[in-house]
Amino acid sequence: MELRVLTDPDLRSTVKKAADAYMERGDGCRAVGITTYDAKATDAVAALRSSSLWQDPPATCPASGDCLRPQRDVGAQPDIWIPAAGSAWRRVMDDGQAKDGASVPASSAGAGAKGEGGAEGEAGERVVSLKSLGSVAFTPMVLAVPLSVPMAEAAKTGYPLGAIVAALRDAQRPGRSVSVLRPDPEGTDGALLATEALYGSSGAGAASALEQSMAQALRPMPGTARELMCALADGSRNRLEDGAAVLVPEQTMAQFNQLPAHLGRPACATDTLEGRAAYYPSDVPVLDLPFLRVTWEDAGRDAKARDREVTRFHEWLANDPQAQEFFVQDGFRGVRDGEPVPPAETSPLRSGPNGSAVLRSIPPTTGSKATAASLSATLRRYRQALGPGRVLYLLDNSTSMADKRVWEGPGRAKELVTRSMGSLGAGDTYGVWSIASRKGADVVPFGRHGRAAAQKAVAGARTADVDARVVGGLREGFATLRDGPAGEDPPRLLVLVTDDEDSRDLTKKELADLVALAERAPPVRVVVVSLRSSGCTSGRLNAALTAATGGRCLDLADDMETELTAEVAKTGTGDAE
Amino acid sequence: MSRSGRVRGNTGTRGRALPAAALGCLFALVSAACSGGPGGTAPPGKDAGASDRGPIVVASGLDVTGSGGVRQQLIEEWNRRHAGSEAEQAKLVELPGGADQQRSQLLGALQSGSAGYDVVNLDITWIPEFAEAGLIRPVPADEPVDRDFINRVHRTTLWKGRSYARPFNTDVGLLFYRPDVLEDAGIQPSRQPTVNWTWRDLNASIKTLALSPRRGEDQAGWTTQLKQYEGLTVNAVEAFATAGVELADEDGSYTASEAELKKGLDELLARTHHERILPSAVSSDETATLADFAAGRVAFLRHWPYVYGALRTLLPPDAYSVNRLPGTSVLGGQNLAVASDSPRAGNARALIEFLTSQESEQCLLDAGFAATRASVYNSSSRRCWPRVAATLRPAQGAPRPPAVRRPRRPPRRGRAARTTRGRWRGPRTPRP
Repeated sequence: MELRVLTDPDLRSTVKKAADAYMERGDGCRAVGITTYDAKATDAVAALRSSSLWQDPPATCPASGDCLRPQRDVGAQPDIWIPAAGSAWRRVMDDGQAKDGASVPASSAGAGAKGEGGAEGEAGERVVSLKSLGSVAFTPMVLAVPLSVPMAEAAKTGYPLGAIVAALRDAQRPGRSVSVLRPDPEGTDGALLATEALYGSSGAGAASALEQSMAQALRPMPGTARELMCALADGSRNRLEDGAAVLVPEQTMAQFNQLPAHLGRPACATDTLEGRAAYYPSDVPVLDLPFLRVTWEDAGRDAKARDREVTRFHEWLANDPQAQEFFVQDGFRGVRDGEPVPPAETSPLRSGPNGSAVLRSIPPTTGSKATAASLSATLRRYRQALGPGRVLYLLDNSTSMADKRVWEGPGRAKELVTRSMGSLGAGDTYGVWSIASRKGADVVPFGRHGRAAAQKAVAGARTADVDARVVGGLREGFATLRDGPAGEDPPRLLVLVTDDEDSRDLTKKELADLVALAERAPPVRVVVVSLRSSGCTSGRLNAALTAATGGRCLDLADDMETELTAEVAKTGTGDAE
Repeated sequence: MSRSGRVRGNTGTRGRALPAAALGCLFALVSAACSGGPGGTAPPGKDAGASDRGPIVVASGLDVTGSGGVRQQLIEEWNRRHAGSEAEQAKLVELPGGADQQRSQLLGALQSGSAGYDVVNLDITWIPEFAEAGLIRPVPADEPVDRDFINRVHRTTLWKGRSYARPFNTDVGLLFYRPDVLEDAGIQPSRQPTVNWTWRDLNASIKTLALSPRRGEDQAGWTTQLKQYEGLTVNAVEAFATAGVELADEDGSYTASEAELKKGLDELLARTHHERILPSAVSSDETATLADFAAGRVAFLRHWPYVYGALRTLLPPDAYSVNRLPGTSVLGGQNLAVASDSPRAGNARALIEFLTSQESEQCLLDAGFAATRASVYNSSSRRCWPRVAATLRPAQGAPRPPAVRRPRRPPRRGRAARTTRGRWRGPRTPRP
């Protein structure tokens, strides 16, 4: 029997180790196969809410391109779901379509996201029921503060996040400011819960300032706690190594605190990364790793046997000492009778620097007011917070695109652009330039637009029988995006959609010049969509530009529609509408 | 396992040392036999009649040629030909990325019924598992065997004497090489790879390259996918098989001795000696090794057939070539099977016949996949469906692509044909 286990990204490696061990125990005759995988927390919630699309995807996406495909975007249909926190489960079961206009938003393709003219694409229904069998481990969310910052011990417990952050600011030494960072709230449950507390304490309108300052320190924000810590440790951000307090699960902080000789220390940890101590906000709920049985409608073929195996696996995971040891060794707190177990003296949470960095028992978190609705609202604020963006598409409309059959049709150039424009909203400034035309031929001039009209203009664009001016287009594009009032620093994105025909023969010098131009301030992220397999081979224009600007290069080996839409969503505010 | 449908190399990894990996694989193979699903084998005999309601759902991995790729085109061609009949319309459902997740979803969905798939596109190594568990229907016993399918490839559809599927595309390891790099080092065309090459010939060539004064600092002889995922397993199995070591017998029971394991490992270690192989091979997958080859960091590359098409856009035509992989290569590929539970098995069966017809297989070859019919390779098959062929060609009235690309095709087919026609000895039993 095959069991499919979906987890929160922060949990995956630990759960996988345990699941693999579960399969190996016994005398070599394996009764159950378990595949463990993860997906962005908001994607998982959206997919389960619209799970009918998982079971029975539509044959084609509508013309606008907005189309949620859980099977392809999240993974296999889970039999077991282990989110980091029960709040994720509540968000799936929450049937209220929020009155303020948006259903629980999907992070990229936006099923049910409303644009002009109402909801686009097929909104799915929930065809799963979720039953909690209990927690398998615990870890509280903490603000991990570098040891060198002189914070009061008393601040460790009993205070909401806002107060702890205020104390942090007070404790800063002059000239050594401390940033507060947290991973992408769309990536993990923990980050979303921390963000809710962060916004809640700062009052209306401050979400924007908070996000901008975090983005200044680190952009793009990594998707998991571990990746965030690795980014701090990688030696390229000296100021953050001891100058960033991070909102992460206690487990992640504990792992990175370990001394080099310790086996559990992550491979990316370096000695330049300072150790940290945990401060426990009273308004961020503890991550209680609920083990949820996912039952699909109409999946009755082996329901009894499947239930039995799922229950057996849960019992092992929650009760067997060997299973619990996997969690404990990774810095989690074990579970007994549904309650967290204080760490033993031999556990990583008591050894080395963690002895003083971590508290024995988890302080109460009764101050949290997170509900399904409030978390959805927080997500919306987050998406709006980075402010309207500036996005410019450079569309290669040379005839080679049509020759290669990549100009129009499902998944081709024009549709990729119109689909991704679903991530742009009324507040964003954007344009689409066709680069195989005489100068000044704008399909959509750079400015504010009604999205439907802009998408229509793109759909009607034509090819031209001249070479595409890739270099010229890029230069003008950078200039236009960087233009603007000095005080503002909106997110900027340049999207190049091409078949590489006319950009292959750059000299080394031309390439170096372009990369230097791309790297100048203010920052512009570049995303290249190369409609050619292996178009993102390193060393060439596409890979060089995207690597230099923290962007992404997509070629035919990627799922271009979803990825491009997600990239534009990082800059645009369309999802938030 | 299959390359043709997937470029994502990062399937689930286990992080075990190499010797244990071989044992671990066999363990799983043995225990797969223990996981027989409910109901045993499906009822033999005629398939159920066509249901009144469609669509026929085909579950397959992502098409590496991009959305709107050849598999989707073939399904659309079927739909056009059955335009009047709603019950016979077909729909392609794309499964999640890596091989491990695809298998997991297919198994879980067919076992539980959590999704309604009628036709499933299975890696050849999964056929025994799915057949044993009663999840796929055997081909009706009275259906004659189509001898046009390459025999070796047809045999991948068999389990315990019955055929459970039809071959859709096949896959085999090939040796790609850089004639320009070889000539630079003084290795003339007459001393470049042939179908009779052995690893000794390859090693000798690599040695000559190493001695060449024109050799760059970061260059090496060859590279392949040795990262700890399917790539490492494939390369290890190829080394073992070349050394004459069979890990399992026809029924999947483990048969190798410790001495044989050592022999196989010695072969693998010899091939991957640091003086021969690019150091980064141990952390490389399909994409990385292709990039290394295109950049000229190696002169030889072990890779899959689809790369030949990809190289067309990366290198000039006289800078790359391909031949048979010396020694033994694994056989990969995918087969189309009907789900046991499908209420429209008759229509599903008809769709599978369409998708594996001569015309469709010719379309697959044209799109860069390795077809499964012999007639396609000796150019005696019917041509690709016209409307599908049109999507694979440049638009009408457009300037033709440079003529220098054309002459490449016939030699490729010849080589591919020789390669896939039994000059190698692939492992017969599946790996997990």
